Amino acid sequence: MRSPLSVFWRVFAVNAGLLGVLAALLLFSPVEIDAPIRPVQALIIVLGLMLTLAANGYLLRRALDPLERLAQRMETVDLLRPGQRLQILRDDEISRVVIAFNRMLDRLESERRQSGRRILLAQEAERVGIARDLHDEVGQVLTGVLLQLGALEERAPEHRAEIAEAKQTVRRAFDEVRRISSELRPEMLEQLGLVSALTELTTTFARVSGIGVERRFDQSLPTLAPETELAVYRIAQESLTNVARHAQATRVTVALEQGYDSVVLRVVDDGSGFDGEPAEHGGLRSMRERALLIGGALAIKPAVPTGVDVRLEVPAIEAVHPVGVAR
Amino acid sequence: MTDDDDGRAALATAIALSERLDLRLVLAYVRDGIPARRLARLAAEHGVGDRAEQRSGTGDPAMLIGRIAAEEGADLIVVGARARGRLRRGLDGRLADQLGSETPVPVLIAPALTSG
Repeated sequence: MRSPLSVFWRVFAVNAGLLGVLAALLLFSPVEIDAPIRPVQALIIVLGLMLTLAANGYLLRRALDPLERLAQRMETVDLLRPGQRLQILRDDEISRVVIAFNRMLDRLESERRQSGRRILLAQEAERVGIARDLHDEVGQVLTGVLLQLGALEERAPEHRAEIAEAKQTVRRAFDEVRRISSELRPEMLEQLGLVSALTELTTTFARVSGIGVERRFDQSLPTLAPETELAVYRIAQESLTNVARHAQATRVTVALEQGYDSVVLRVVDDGSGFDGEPAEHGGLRSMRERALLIGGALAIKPAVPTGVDVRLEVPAIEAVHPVGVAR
Repeated sequence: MTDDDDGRAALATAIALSERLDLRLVLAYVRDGIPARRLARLAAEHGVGDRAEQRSGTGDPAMLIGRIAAEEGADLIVVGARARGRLRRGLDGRLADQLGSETPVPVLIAPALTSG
């Protein structure tokens, strides 16, 4: 419903009209007002007043209703869940405020995306640095220790058993360093792609956590941008970390399926699940952040019959529209 | 959706659409304070108990439906229409209106079932 009149003129017109009618009544009708006012005259004046007030009230309420909704939206808007916009119903001053608010949301969401992207890029760069240091520095030292132990073994054959044990421990530490550095920097992802990287991730997860993993990866998946692949990998990694930490699960299913112009990742466990809404702790927030940046849709919900079902849908490289918008 | 004729109409329309277009079906139940197992029962009644995914929550219906649609990457939201009387139509129109502000996903208002 569009009306060319502004709120000001609508209120003014109603007031002018009603006051005009009252004035006309007083001027041209036989109604008179005596010095000590008579009950009928008082009644007419009071009725007129009430009519004006009621009309005013109704109009003001209708005119100011969008302000109420605007205030509500301002209270509840969440930049991690973009897409909320107020509709413009009329063409007046308030709708100009609404338009300005919607534009402000556009700007905020885009700035949020940019700063989020910068933070994630910085985080990834730092992880690569730490992974390299771990692998190169600590790895070198451990290799050195292994060599020294080998030399010692030859010089002191009477301590062979103890030295072999020490070598074993050092090798375990070496494996741990390699595992941590590959978690920090998924080289597999860059070299062999998402499916191989997730296979490696889930294999390691099953070995370390003792939770059974079922993999269901579609044979042919649409191509994803490198940035998107990294996000899918990190969200899978974070989901599995949550399963190991909180779920008390015995099995977890990790699936990659083809969607419509999209790829769907699912991580479903059979653990204890959560009550109501999942707590939005740091891990979940960073998952949402990553999903948001690549235009994906992320749902974290109870699985049937128990457990948690994480579903991430990300747009393929040739997809024209972001996930979940009419195509 | 709700557990009455309007909700059933929306459910029937959504099921028919999802079958015809081969779409994933997510049922959302966002009325205040009603347990999620009602949704499971409704889904089973319509024969989609194992096919449809189910989400439920309590709070502002429009906000929750918008949020669930965003999380699920929904292409379409189906809500029921009120057929009985102007007042109830007005109330439901508000939900569709509010959804317009909550989500960029298109909203389909399913007409009421005429039989039953």
